[in-house]
Amino acid sequence: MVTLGIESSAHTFGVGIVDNGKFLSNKKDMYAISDKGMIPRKVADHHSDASYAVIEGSLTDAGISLHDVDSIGYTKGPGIGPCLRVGELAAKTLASKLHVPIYPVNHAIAHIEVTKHLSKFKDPLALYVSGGNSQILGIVASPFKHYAVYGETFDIGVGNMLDNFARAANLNPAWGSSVSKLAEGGKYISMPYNVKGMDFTFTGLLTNAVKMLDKANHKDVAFSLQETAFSMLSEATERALMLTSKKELTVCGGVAQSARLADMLKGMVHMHKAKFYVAPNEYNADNGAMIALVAEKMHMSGAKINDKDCNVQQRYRADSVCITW
Amino acid sequence: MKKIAEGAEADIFKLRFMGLDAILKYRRTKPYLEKSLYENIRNSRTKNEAKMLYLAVSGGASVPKPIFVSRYAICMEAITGTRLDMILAMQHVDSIKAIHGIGVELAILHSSMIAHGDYTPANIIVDKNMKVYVIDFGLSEYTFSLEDKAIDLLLMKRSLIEKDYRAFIESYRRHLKDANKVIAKLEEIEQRGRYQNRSLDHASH
Repeated sequence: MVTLGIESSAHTFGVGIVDNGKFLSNKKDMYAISDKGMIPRKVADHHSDASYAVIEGSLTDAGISLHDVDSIGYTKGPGIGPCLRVGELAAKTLASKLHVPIYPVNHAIAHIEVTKHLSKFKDPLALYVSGGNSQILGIVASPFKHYAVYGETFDIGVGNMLDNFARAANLNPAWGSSVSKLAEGGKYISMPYNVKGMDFTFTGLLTNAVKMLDKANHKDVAFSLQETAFSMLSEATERALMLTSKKELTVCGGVAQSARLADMLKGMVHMHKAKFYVAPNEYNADNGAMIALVAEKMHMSGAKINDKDCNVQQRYRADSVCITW
Repeated sequence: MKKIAEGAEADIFKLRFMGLDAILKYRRTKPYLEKSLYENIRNSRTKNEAKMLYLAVSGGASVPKPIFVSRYAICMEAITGTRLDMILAMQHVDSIKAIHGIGVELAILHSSMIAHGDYTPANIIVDKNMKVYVIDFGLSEYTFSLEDKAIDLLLMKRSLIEKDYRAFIESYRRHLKDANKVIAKLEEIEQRGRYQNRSLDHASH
């Protein structure tokens, strides 16, 4: 049972191949982010230019030919429309050429499921943190099996906030790890801290941090911004962990690559005698293997896909997806 | 003192104070957070919570009466009962009186200019006569902002089934003069796109 998954929701065009839960390959090509962020049309152009080489590279790495593929998965959303459509088109082309079933995959579910798969946890609470999203989720059985969102950002995703700050501080490349690097050895300055139950907001914090750039040492601002944002996330997650009485926590998504965030969560989880897992960076960055993994789960559990479901949806919520496995 | 509960940020101990059943809510240290950041939160939330409890009592809300407060701990009246989320999970219990109660209590809090900040069934205690008490004012705020109040409605909306939510909002509307303004604000927040219809019923649509 070989499944090929295509990811194209944001800056990465990725193709991964899975065989019965085993990862055979995971190739990607990323749009070069400069100080200008992402221009959707240009990112989509990058993806269509890269698609052929990445698909071929992934097949070569896996040591299989295209005709060994039994099913295809692609990212339906959430993500940037023009980028998603490139992946959708590539997937549909392959599926009709090979006469194999095609599965539209929710990007957030893919991050959560690949991390759960690697952790071997039974029923974890998941903190999903990326550019566009920041959510705390867990599986709930009714009214049907799905990931319930316990808490989430009321405005922008934490990654988006870090990227915006990086641009304001003239960091290059303008993303979270540059902020992390700048933050090393910084001192704490008080910043707005906005948690409402298990939900949180980041724009107030961002505005404050950008204003502080004129007045304070950039190192200290970066440090305080990062500490405040990650503390908010770990507080909301801690509350969800208590509420659900779950004994396992995973963190996934692009921002899960931050060592500081993982440290904070690990400390919190150990205090409640629960288990913690964060996947290697390869799976936290956007990738095709996670899409293939979920498509395979859908295929094996007999998920029924109508033609009209095979589209893209920019705001495809994780909690609207029925978990069939 | 006997520890009776462990929350996300505080431990709850049971004690007797001058012949009364009381609890002590102690905010723990969180060694995994930046020290100066969390010490500030820990102390200000404790002080704020005591202040909000006192304000809520003055406004006539059913909340645990604060007895004394120290740097990281509040001693308050003990409330005996069951959490509303547990009551709602029981199939055969008629909870409509409690649902009305949470509308009334929120209306009282809002007319005292208190936004609760974490108004969910887990923070409501229901006694054996189905009378409700609101607990955990750690995230509460004295505020004139409609948005803060609307978030209270939003948090409760997401934790209730549609029928209960309608009964809750009806009783809230009846007991608060400016309720329609808060409800209109809630609709505006939900229009912001990302969070439309995130209620327990949402998944079934």
